[in-house]
Amino acid sequence: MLEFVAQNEPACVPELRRHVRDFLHTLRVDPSISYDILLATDEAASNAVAHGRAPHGNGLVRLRCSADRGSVVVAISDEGSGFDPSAVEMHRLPNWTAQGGRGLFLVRELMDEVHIDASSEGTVIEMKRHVELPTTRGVPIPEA
Amino acid sequence: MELGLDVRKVGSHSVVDVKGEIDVYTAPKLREKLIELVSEGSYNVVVNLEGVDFLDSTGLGVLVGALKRVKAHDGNLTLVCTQDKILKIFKITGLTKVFPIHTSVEEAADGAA
Repeated sequence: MLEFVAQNEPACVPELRRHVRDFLHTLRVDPSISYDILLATDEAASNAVAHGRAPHGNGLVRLRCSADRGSVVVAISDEGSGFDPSAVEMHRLPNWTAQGGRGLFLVRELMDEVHIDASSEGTVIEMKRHVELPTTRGVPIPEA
Repeated sequence: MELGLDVRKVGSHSVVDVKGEIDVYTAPKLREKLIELVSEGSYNVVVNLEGVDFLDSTGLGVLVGALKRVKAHDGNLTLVCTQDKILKIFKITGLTKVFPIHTSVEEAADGAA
């Protein structure tokens, strides 16, 4: 389990990515899947920076990352005033000329399960990606 | 990580060699550079992403904004990218149909006239 808390500001996003990258590296997750999880984490964290600042002061962004034998789960939470997830187009891309609005679409495409819990006290985006983590096989002890 | 931006001329094109990670923290620097180029009259721009380790949707937004600016002057913005992990975000978002993407700066400069 990895937990990390940072001030809600743009500089926290590469820092969160670095922690998740190290976590996934330790688990020996396949590099292409690891990149997908990093990108989804980045998009959720960028969303928190853009839309999830606390009413007074920036507030905090929290990262929680866990793994079992079959999946990696990353949760990003903020202290903003929340938003209506049903009003966000996660399944449709904006017109190509739009300079934003692709982040949550990407999260949905890159991860297997996405849950958004938004309230007046903040938003939590929890994302799960199925992975096959390498198993450590015991090395047989040579017979004497 | 700091974002490296080097600008050079290849024929009539301004080539921006980008190095590092493009995200919400570093994208403003790239946006400023591209706006500066267009304001100086560079309307045919090649953005070389071969040195980029990470690109997110904030970075895509900057490239889209720059493409709109050069198109307003009948110019074009082309990309150089051969890395699968970077190409993937363009494919998912359908922007491979919007940006000409080449495998080398020379090819981009030849084809983007």
